[in-house]
Amino acid sequence: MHGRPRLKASAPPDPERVKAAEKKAALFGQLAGEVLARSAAKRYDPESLALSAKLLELHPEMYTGWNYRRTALVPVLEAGGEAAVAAVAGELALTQRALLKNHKSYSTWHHRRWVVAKGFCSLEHELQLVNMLLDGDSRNFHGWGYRRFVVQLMGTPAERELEYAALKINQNFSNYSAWHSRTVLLPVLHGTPDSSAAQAAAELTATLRAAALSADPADVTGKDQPQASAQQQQHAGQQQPQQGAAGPTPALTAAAAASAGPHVSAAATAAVPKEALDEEYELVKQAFYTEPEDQSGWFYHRWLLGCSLANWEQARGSEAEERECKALLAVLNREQQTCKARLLEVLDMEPEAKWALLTLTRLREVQQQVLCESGTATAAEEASGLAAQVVEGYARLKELDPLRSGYYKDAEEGRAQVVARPMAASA
Amino acid sequence: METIQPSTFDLVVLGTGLAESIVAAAAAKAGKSVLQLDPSPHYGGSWASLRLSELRSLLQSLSPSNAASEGRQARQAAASGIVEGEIWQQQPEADLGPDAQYSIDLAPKVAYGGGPLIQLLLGSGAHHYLEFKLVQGSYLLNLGRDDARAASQGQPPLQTVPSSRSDVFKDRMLSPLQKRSIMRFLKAAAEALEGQGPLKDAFGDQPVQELLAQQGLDKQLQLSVLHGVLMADCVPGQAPGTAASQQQQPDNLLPFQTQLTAEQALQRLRVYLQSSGRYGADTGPFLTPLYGGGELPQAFCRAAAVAGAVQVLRCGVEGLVLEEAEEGTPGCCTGVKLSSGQVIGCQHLAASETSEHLEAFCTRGGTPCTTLRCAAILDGPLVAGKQQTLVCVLPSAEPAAQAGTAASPQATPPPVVRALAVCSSTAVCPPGRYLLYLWAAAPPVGADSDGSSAQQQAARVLQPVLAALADASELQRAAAPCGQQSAEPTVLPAAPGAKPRVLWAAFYSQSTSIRFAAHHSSGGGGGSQWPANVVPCPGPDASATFISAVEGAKQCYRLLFPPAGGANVDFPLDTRVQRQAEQQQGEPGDEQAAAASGLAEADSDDELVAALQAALQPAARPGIEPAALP
Repeated sequence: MHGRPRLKASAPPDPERVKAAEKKAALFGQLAGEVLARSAAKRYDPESLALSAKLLELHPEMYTGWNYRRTALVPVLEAGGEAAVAAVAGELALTQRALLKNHKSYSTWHHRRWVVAKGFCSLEHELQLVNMLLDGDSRNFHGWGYRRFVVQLMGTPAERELEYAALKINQNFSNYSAWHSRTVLLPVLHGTPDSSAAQAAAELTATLRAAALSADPADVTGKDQPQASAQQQQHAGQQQPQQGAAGPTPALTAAAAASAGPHVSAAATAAVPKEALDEEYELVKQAFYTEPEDQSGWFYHRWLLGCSLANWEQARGSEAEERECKALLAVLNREQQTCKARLLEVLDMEPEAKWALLTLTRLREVQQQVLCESGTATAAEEASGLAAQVVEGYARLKELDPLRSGYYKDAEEGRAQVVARPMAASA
Repeated sequence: METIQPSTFDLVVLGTGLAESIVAAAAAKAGKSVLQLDPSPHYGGSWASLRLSELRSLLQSLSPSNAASEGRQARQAAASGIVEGEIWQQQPEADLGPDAQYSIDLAPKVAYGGGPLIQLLLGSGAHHYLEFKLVQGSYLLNLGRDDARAASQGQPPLQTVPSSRSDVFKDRMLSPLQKRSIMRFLKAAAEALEGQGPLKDAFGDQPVQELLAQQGLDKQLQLSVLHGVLMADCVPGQAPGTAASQQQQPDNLLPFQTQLTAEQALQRLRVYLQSSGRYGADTGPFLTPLYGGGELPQAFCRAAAVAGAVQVLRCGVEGLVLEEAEEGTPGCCTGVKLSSGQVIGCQHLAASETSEHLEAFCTRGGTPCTTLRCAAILDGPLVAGKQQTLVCVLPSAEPAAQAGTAASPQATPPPVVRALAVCSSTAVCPPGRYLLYLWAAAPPVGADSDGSSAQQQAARVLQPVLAALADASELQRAAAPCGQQSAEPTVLPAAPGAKPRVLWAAFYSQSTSIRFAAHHSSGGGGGSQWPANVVPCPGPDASATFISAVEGAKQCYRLLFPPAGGANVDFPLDTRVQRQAEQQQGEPGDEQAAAASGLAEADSDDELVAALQAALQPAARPGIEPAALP
């Protein structure tokens, strides 16, 4: 949960507490050892499974425990019937108890997905549960990921989900997951008719069933961020959680991830039309003016810019190129005006105006590149003027935000990605 | 009637209104013996919530023809401070639903979620008896705006008062620059309250409008902040350029506080900022209680009872027992004589200011303070999709013309009108019916050169506002109001559009604060006529929130029981007092918190160990629910 103060680690460990912790660890070791032994012996009797359930309820992070249960569940679920329904209900209850203990447990969320994808349970109920979770903690990216998974199984139209994301953004726009949700949904919504959301969902369901043995959650449990921040994640050295030895069928896993991930479906390759993007630009502008120091909106803006650029790039070589180029330059000019208005107003009193300045500089950089490629003499002249402004902008940013001066230096020398491309365009 | 035991108390409280009940709860908590009496069968006095039928008969009892038959209700009306009232309804009468499902506030107000009332509720434990709903939207309706009249064909142009960060983000009527200026102002104010930021020295004794203008808020935002955020209630010094600013208000008229200084504004902003967002990122600052505002005095009464106070309803008081003092000094009240004949001795007496027994002390006329009120029943919500909403209505520049009477040149501008819309979500009316309250401070008597009574004033001032907010075209005056045989048509002007229709409306005037003001203006007990140990408790004024009532109650308590250690001693019900008591027992701060959390962790550790042991016990294993597997 957000906004909770971190407890200070008190300096000298209390010997009594250390002793208690040791006792706890010993008991855990005993219980885990018992479960692992039964797992190695391939014992799938009710008693062994109850033991693993107890262990997971107390300590949901233990991947092997969940894998053990899945291996045991496979024959039951394949057989189907009442036994399968009861088994699924049991797993849902177990994961719910585990999630109440730790609502950010990757392994538990993954297990629940795996179980739900088998059918035998009510998706509406799952949606209600995850809605409750997001009402309580609107920025829980596990909840957002799980919600996307559930609505895709249900075949909910992208419009409805876009509305949900808008609702959450209206409640609190400082929400990376909600903005990210829009980056996923907009390409789906504007996809070509023959790859409608329903069809994509049907494909997904089929894939999930086929990949039922797969234990790899792939990107679906990955942390939500507008894709713009992917590169920053790399900077920070963040990695997707590693499965280790947990996934029994790697080949199938890769296939499932490739076709099941929401932003790699066929629909996602469709470009978002200019009109839709304009609405989004307008929405995110409200965030800039309400609270410019909040970063989530600026990241979303970067994704939008990538979409605008992709529209132009896709049209290159076609007869629409000139029109798209003009449209792109118009967008770039308009967005520069937005940033400039912000800057004129705030730069002297609000140091966090760096976001406006960074965005303005990036906009100029893109504009300069576009002009260079259009090849006319006047454009080249304009581009060189912009290049000077870009250098100036990054120099100012280094002063305003010395902590990230290395990043700005990289950007200035062309080593940083200026805009975040939508998945299809960058692939 | 049974006699009350014991027969002497430290404090006798006459009335069960909000201020009386707070005083009773505080005194009981401080260890005094307290007796609280009310002649009526229910709690609340001027603050009560009534059923529809009760309100109807209360207002009808004011008519002279009914005076004889409805004596009890007339007395009750007097005890509620209601001077005059009239009922308007549809012809034929609309179906209003079950009477028992109505709980109509005589004096509606909203509470700041982090304000003094909530603090007192928490400090007294009375919060256990109450539930609240959030006010979901706060709006400004500026009838004086030119484009308001142009747009009045359809929905009234309600402007959102930015009451949370989410409101500012969502609103598309505010321009980006307006958003920036209001957010920056609120942020700087929050910093100034911490003694930091660019405005830390800016909140001085200049009028707050000056500061708002300096901070780049345009006129619309200035009004929005002044009335919707700072809750400036009465006609303020208008923004420069309007006609009203040229008119001098008479100085002696208490309710017409014309200027709010920046410093006062900052204190109001403190409460506002503490309250906004307290219950979630997108929540505004205001709360409204379930089952109506009449629950509040009851909750404090219960808190008083828990601390040992005795309450007796349906217990009339014949008179006060006064002890003559020496010549030239005020006497002393030694007791009260009940209708049963019993005499109860008391050290101190606090009484609702509407109590007839205080009349004798009010030889010097207090400042009249009448609140014009309207309670209307609608067939739809005021704002679609919102269950509880608060609207501040700024009057049109030419009020008299709208009301159909000749405007006198000296007429003071009409007051700011507050509107609160609630519905069955707070269990105050049947499903499908909606309550709309309007209230405003009455313009001072004398401004009405045509000599019309206060009763007509309530309808005259509030009816145009009602018609602006809702469709009142089918509403007719139910009966000729007392004291006037009206021949003029009583059908209200039509207001087409998709507004909710008004099915029923009561207009009435509640006159309170006379004796409270008189007492306090006479020097808080040191004045000539008041016995030193008698204090009148304030009734509901025209303000939008409970702040003034809570402050008034605290003031009364301090007059009755002057703090020994100087003026700034804590009130017995303050949460701070509770906290200090706790702090005396242990070292506060991080260490304590860490220790407490360590303790909690140890507890859960014990549970964990027990769970682990249970899981490992072979005997227990068959008992664990087995997964349905072969």
